[in-house]
Amino acid sequence: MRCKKVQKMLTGFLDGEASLKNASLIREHLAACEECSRRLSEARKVMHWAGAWQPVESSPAFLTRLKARIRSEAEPKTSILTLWFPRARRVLAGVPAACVIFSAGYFAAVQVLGGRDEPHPGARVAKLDSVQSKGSVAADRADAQRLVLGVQKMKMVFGDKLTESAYAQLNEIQKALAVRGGSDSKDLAVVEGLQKAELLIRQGDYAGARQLLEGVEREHPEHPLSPYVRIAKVLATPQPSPGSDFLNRAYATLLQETVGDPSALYNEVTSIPQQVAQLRDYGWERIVKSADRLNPLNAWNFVERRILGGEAESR
Amino acid sequence: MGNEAEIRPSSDEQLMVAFVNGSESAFDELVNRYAPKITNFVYRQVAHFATAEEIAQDTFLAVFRKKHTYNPDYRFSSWVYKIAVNMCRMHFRKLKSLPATVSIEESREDGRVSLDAVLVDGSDSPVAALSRKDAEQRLQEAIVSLPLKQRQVFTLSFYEEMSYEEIARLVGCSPGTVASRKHAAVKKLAAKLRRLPAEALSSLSGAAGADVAEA
Repeated sequence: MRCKKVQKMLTGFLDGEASLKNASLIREHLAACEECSRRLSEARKVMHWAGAWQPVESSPAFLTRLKARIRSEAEPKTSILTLWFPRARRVLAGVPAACVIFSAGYFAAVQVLGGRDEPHPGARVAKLDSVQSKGSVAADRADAQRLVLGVQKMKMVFGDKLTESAYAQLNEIQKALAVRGGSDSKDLAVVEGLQKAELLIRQGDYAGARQLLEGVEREHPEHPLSPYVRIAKVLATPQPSPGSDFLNRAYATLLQETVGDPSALYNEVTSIPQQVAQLRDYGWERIVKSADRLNPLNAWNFVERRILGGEAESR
Repeated sequence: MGNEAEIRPSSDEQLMVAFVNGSESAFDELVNRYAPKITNFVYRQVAHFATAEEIAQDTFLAVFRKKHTYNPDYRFSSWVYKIAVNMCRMHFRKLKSLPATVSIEESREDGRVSLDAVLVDGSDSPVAALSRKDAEQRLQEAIVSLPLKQRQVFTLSFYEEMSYEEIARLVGCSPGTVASRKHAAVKKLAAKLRRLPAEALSSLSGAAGADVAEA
């Protein structure tokens, strides 16, 4: 074999792509030819050098972002709630379950409400009834209020998965609980205000929703549902570009940093635009790490762990 | 809830079939398996992390939308890489120029190769680490400066460890053409390697490469 031919085949030879016959001819030639051996070692060095390009890690939020894109394209008329709910879900996942009595019904209900398809409408209603019957044994207003909050939480956490009828049913339960809660008509007023605002948000009337929520806030400051009123106000605010990966991660971090306190959560969420710059300083790595739970399955496990864990602690 | 009870099909192809039949968790699993690979493959074409992630996202979006066009007789990996190769082509067609416009500096803004990261790495002395990073940066520049077709073949062959046969099917040419593109790429890289300072290459690992730099 001539040098020119051998040199042309050296790369393939190194890649193990030369035929057996050619490979042995090349080896023979290399043993005798200094120049070609030098070329071979040079090609080897190139491969060695090429190994210096370290792989990058894809964002932990990759799948979540992809899913958001898939959803937003599949349902063009989707409301802002759908885009927000993955966030809301993570937010509320961190809020420790306040009420022990609610948890069992909560998970039972989640099981039937969680899916889009409705294989057993009967089971669905039965489970909701069990949530409701727990409400009927609520000892006092405080218990009833906690259940109202629990339903609110459930609506927010699973909002994008609830069918319209399930959603309506939850609203009814919430109202019934507020009434059962006792003498204080404030509860019902706040619940109804919140529900009307949610409906407006679903319909895309953000301005109307905000106005309504501000009214509720004015008339009933310091109500246990107030943090949710304020969060609903955030939901009624047009969100930053959904493609903004950085913001998504920043949100995730902030939401996780504020677990356990919806009020603090609200403050954090609303001040995000001002905090983006701070977050940059705060450290990209840490943000990425904290956003690890953006994987829906992990987020789901997180929900379970936090709430069940919270239940165990409060026993 | 109850997810643990599901028995997961293990091969990519089984997952893809499950996904075509409506299992979204199978899709998630495929994305989890392939997102890093596809992102890295694209990253080595475009040398810009954010762009690479966007293109990788587009790739999986296409997998989702075109699931019914998947032929289970073929490997899923070939299919998804083929989509990624086409997405890169579309990207460059849109740019109408090769990413000479994207500087390596810019791609570093992702914070992946910051000085800090080099210094806290800890495995090398700072000097050795810096020359290693230098070698990496020069390599990225060298690969990015290859013509698109050569770059494609080189990255598929070297980083994705595909055979010439597989690459040929993927990019739509003969294995012989793959061989000559790869050879041309290696030749060009060798020329750049010769201009690399000796310490940069030797920093990669021990004594390797010193004589090349001299040559």
